[in-house]
Amino acid sequence: MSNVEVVEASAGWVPLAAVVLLATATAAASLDGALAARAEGRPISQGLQMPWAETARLFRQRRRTTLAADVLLWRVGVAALLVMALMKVVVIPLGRWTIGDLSVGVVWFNAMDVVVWAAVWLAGWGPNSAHSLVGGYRFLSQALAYELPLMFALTAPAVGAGSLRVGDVVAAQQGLWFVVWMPVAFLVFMAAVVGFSVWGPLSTPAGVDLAGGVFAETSGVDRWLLLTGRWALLTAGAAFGVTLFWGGGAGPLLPPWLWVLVKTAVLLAALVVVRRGLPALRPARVIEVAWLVVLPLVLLQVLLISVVVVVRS
Amino acid sequence: MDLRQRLAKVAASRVSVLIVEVPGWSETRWAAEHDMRSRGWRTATSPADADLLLTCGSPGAGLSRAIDLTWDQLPGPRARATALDFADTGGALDRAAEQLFDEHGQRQDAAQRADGPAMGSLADEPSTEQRGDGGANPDGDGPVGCAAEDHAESDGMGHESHDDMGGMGSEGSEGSEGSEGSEGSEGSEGSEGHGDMSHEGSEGNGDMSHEDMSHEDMSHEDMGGMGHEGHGGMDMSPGGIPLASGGGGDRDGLDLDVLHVPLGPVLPCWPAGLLLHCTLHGDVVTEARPEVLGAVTGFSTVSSFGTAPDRLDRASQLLTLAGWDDAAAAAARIRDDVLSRADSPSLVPAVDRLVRRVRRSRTLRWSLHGLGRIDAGFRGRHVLDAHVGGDVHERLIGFLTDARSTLTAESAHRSPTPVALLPELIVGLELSAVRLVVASMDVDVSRQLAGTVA
Repeated sequence: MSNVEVVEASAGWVPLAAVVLLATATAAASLDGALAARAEGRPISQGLQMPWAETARLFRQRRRTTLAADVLLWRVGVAALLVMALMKVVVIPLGRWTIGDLSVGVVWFNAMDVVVWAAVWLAGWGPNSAHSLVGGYRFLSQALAYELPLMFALTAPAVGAGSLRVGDVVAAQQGLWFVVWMPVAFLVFMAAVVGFSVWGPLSTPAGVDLAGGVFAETSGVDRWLLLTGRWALLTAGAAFGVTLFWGGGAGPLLPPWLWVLVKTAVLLAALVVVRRGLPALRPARVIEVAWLVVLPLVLLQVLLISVVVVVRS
Repeated sequence: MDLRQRLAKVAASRVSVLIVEVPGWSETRWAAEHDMRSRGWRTATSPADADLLLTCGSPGAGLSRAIDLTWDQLPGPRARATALDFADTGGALDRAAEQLFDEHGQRQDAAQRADGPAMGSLADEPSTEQRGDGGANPDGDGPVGCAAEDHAESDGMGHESHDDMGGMGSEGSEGSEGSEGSEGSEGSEGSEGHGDMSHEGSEGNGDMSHEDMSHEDMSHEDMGGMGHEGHGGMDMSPGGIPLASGGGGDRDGLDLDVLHVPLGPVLPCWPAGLLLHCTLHGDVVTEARPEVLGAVTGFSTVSSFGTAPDRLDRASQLLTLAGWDDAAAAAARIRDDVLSRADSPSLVPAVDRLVRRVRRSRTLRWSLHGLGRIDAGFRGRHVLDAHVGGDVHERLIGFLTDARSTLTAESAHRSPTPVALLPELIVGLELSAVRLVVASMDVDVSRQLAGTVA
C-alpha cells in the first residue's frame, strides 16, 4: 500500500459515520449477549438479539425522576456519553476518509475523553441518589487511575509519528505497525478505553453492588442512552486503537475502509471475549496498580520511543 | 401489527425482574431465577431497572411496606406478582408478563399514578409499629441485637453529624424541621443545633426503618443538599429535605457529606430480610445498625440453610457482586441442577470444575485479597464456626467446597452468622467491600428469627 492521503469527507457523510459506529457497537453488544446466553445455557440466538430486545424494552419504558433531582445536569450527563463517542469518531479515518482532519486529532480524542469524566459524574450526581452518587465518586477515582496512563499511551504513537494529526500517525505505520514496537502503550490504551467506557472489569461505577451505580435511577430512554453510549465509547476506543497501533486501513486485498472495520471488529470481539473471563476490579485496587505499575511502565515506553526517534533522525 | 405491539413482542423476550425474597422462601427465589433464565429474562439491579416486581413469600408488615415503596418506584409499564411456592413461580411470572403487556391495563395504571417521584408515606410512630408486626420480631424488639437505637445521643465524639442526619427521615413532610436541619448542617458547632436535631433524630430514625426500606428511596432523600451546601445556601432544603451535613472525623480527614443510606431489604444479592441502616462518609460506612424484617406471623419455615443449593446460591451471589457474571451463572446453573435432579452426586464434577475455575482466576484473587478478614480472635470472641474465617476469597471457595461435600455426604453443620456481628465487620469499609463482606458471611435471617422464637 502506498501512502494514502487522508481526505476530509463532506459533512453529508456524518450520519453515515454515526450509523457505522452504532452498527459496530450493536454487533459487539450482540456478541456479548450471545456469550452471556451461552454461559447461562440459553440458546445463543436469543442472546444475539439482546441489544434489540433491550432497546424495545427501554423504548416502552417511562422515564423517571427522583426527588429534588438536578434534572438538567442529569439529562446532560446521560446523553453526553453517546455524544462524546460520536465526537471521537470525527477524527478516526475510515480508510481514506475522515470527517475532521484536525492537526491535533490525537489531542481531540483525549479532550473528548476528558468530557466523559463530566458526563459520568453528572449522570451520577443528577438523580440525587446515594447509590448513583457513589457510582460517580467511583468513576472519578477510576478516571484518576486511567487518565494519566492514557495520555502517555496516546503520546507514544504521536512521538513515533512526529505528529498529532491522526492521518500522519497512520501514514507513519506503513513500514511497521506501532503495536509491534509500542505494545505497552497499546495495552495501556485499551485498558483506558475499557475504563472510560465504564465497562467490563472497570464497570464498578455502574456495578451490581451499587444497585447499578450511575445507572441506578435511570429508566427508559435515559438508560438506553447510557447503555448505548457505553458500547459506542468502547467501539470508538477500539477504532482509535486500530488507527493508532494497528496500521489503520493498511492491509492486503481489501479496501482500506473495510480493513479499518475488520480490525475494529476483531479488537472489539477480543475485548468482549476476554471480559467474560474476568471479574470486576475493585476501585481501590485499580488506582493502586495504575499509579504504581502502569504509569511507570508507560513512561518507560514513551522514553524508549523518544530515544529511538531521536537516534533514527 | 402496529409499532407498539411489535416493540412489546420483542421486549417480552427480555423482561427485567426485581425479586424480593422473604426470609424462609429462598427455594422459591431459586425456582423463580431458574424460570427467568429459561425465558431469557434477567434480574434487575434496582427498581428503576425493573419491569416486574416478584415477591417470593408472604412478607410481614415491615417488609410489605418496603415492597410497596419499591413498587412505587418502578418506572412502568410495570407488573407485580407473588409466588408462595417453588412450584408456583412460572405461573406467577407468566401472569405478571401478561399484565405487563396489557396495553389497556398499563394505561390505567399510569393514569392512576401520582405525578412526580415516589416518596414513602411517613410512619408516625415507627418503633411501636415495628413492634406491632410481631411476626417479624417475635420478641417484640425492633432491631435485632443492637443497641444503636439511641445512637443519636451517643457520646458526641465525632458523632454529632449523625444526629443531624437522624432527621433525614423526617424530610419532605415537615418543611420547618427541614430548615432547622439545614441550619444544623451549616457547620456551626452550636450544641443547641445538635440538640434540636437529636430530638428530631430520634423521630427520624424511626421513620427510616420504615420508609427507607427500599434502598433507593432513601437515596433521594438523603442526598438532598449534596453540593448545595458548599455555596452556603442558608435555608435551602430542596424538596423539603434538609441538607446533607459535613461530617466530623472522616478517616482521611476530608469533610465529606454524611449520608444515611439503608442497605436492603430490597436489594439484589443481599440476604433476605436484612436491613442495615448505614451512615456513610462519602462511600465509607462509618456506622451500621442492623434490623431484620421477617415473614408474616405464624409462618414456620424449613430453612434450606447449609444445603448444597444454599451454598451454591451464596457463591453465585458473591460472584455476581464481584462482577464475574459467567462464573455466577455457572454456580446458579449447578444450584438449579441440584434442585431438579435426584442423583445430585453426579454434579460433583461440575462443582469441581467451577472450584478450579474460581481458584485459577488470579484477577479475582487479587481483587478480593485480604478483604473482610476474620481472625481467630474475632471468631473466639463471638463464638463463630471455624469455617467462618479467612478473607472473602477464601470464604467464596469455602462455599463451593462446602457444596461439594454436601453433595456427596450429609449436609455439613453450619450455623448462621448472627446479624448483630455485621456492623463490626463492615464499619470502615467502602460500599463495594461492604457488599462483598456481607455476601460472604453466612447470614440467614429466617434461621435467626426461628432461633429467637425457640
